[in-house]
Amino acid sequence: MSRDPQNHLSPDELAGLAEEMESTWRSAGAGPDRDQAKAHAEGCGVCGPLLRDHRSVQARLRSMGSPVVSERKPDCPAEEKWTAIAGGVPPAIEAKPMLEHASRCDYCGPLLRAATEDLNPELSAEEEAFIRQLPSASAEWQRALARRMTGASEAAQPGGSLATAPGETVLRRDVERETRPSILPAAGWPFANWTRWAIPLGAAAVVAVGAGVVMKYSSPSLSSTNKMIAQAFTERRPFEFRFPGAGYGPVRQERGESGPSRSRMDEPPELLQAETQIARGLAKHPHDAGWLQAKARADLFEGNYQTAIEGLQKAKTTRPQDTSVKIDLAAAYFGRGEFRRETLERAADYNLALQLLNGVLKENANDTVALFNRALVHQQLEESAEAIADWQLYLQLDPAGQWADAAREQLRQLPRTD
Amino acid sequence: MSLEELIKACAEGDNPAAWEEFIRRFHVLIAAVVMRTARRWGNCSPELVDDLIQETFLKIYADRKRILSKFTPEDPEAFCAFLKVITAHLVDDYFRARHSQKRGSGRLEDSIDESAAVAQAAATNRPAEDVFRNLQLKEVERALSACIAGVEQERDRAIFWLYYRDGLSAKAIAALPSIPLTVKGVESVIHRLTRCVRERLV
Repeated sequence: MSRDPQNHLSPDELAGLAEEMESTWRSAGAGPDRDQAKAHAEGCGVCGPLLRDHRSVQARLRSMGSPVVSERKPDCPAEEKWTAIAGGVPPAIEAKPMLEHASRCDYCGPLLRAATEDLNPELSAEEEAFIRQLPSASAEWQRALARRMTGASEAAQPGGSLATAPGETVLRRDVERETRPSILPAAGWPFANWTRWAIPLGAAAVVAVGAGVVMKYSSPSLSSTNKMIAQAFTERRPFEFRFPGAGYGPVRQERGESGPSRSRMDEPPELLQAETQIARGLAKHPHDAGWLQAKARADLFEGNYQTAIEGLQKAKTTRPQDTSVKIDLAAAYFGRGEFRRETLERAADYNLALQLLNGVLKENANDTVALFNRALVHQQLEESAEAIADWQLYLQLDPAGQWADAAREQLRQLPRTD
Repeated sequence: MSLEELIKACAEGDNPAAWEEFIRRFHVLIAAVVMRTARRWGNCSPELVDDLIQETFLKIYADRKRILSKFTPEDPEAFCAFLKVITAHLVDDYFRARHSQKRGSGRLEDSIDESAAVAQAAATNRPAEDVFRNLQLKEVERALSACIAGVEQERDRAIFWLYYRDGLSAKAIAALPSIPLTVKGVESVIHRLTRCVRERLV
């Protein structure tokens, strides 16, 4: 029996919809009833705001993830303990207080998470492919290692470890090892290279495949993070500028340079979710231009233009040809310019934005996002003729839709020079 | 050959066939841990992963009396977990040794060190965000305290924060041997507490 569309959301429905971004719970209560409940919430003046509040709190819970860096405290256990905890080596009575410590500690919590990820018994398809391609996965490699291990057993120290100390491993096979250019530190950890002679030329191809696999899953959620930010821009467009990937939405003039009246509770849930992803992405890849750009986009949304500019300048250094970085940086200059009190400073920021957009359009004259934004910059600089030319060109390239309507409206308001 | 028989054969002597079988059975388990741990350190080349896999098996062989004695037929999973821990420690030790050598040589090109420096600098520039986050954590902790009760309240509190603060999935929490709950059990705790906390914060 399907749900009555007139009924308000039940507590279960409200919880289910508030938590639908929680991937592990997504299956709970999915189906046509959920769609109907969602449709009801969208049209209901009682349930809509209530659901929005619940989603905001849920996103806030989600955004409480550990920050990028935390300092080790005196009572933090040794780092290697967390691997043992994740593996269940210490007895529960010893592990319990350590888990409680990790749950309260921004330094140890991420270490425990990393350890559980390392020891996770489930393999993704990419990981399986990576391992399958390793020379050590072949029967020949394994047989050769077994023979070498057991054949050299008389040299082994009974009960002792080969690794006498970190980086000071003494290997029996060193006696017979061939010399090769080492990727390892010169003064320690002398790995043998017999895998190379045992598994000949195919290794090069394996390296290429493996590298591809590694690259593929090194930043798994950057694109979804950017989609979330674009969704936030669509839902609550904070300024006139167009944002790459975002749909049309009316400008909500509630932003400000992080003023005290501004609450994070007001942010779209997608943005808060994205910020959690960004913190994790930057923790793993602090120099990655993509994550720096994503962070700057979130800053842009929140009106933190100076921070966004600094992040985007770093990203631009790494990816000087990336037009999306230039468009974002132009938006940040434009945004900062709007808050400048001095006319000259304001004009300077607008001109910086203009230069960046000119560069993008020089590369691709049909970039509608850059063209739309440049027209806005010309308007702010009171360059009406240039603004009109850009709007007209824009409407040739994008004649229909809500962005086109917005362009027509801007064009209509400009003083005609002819 | 059962796992128990295999471990016994490996522990007793230098039987190449037994060790070959041991390597075959545990290759994926060890390779997965090496690959992920090396990836966390920023170098997951197949060549290095293979070297570290080899190194792990050599260590197990050299220390076989101690390591293989950890196996009990009643709990083979515990032995697998022990092998994983040995592997992760070996990989961590390798990278730590490599980084300390680089530091000792005065070279600064190491990306991890550089990353840490940048991240540290970023951390010092975010006092406002930290203050905001700490306020949030306290607010949620107050709501959470009102939601938990019973003999397992410390366990439930830890589950909640491991999930939201540390980012462990329900599956990862349930996989921790010191949390005696299934994935569904952990999800149920998180779900119940989340709903209660959310209702108090709305």
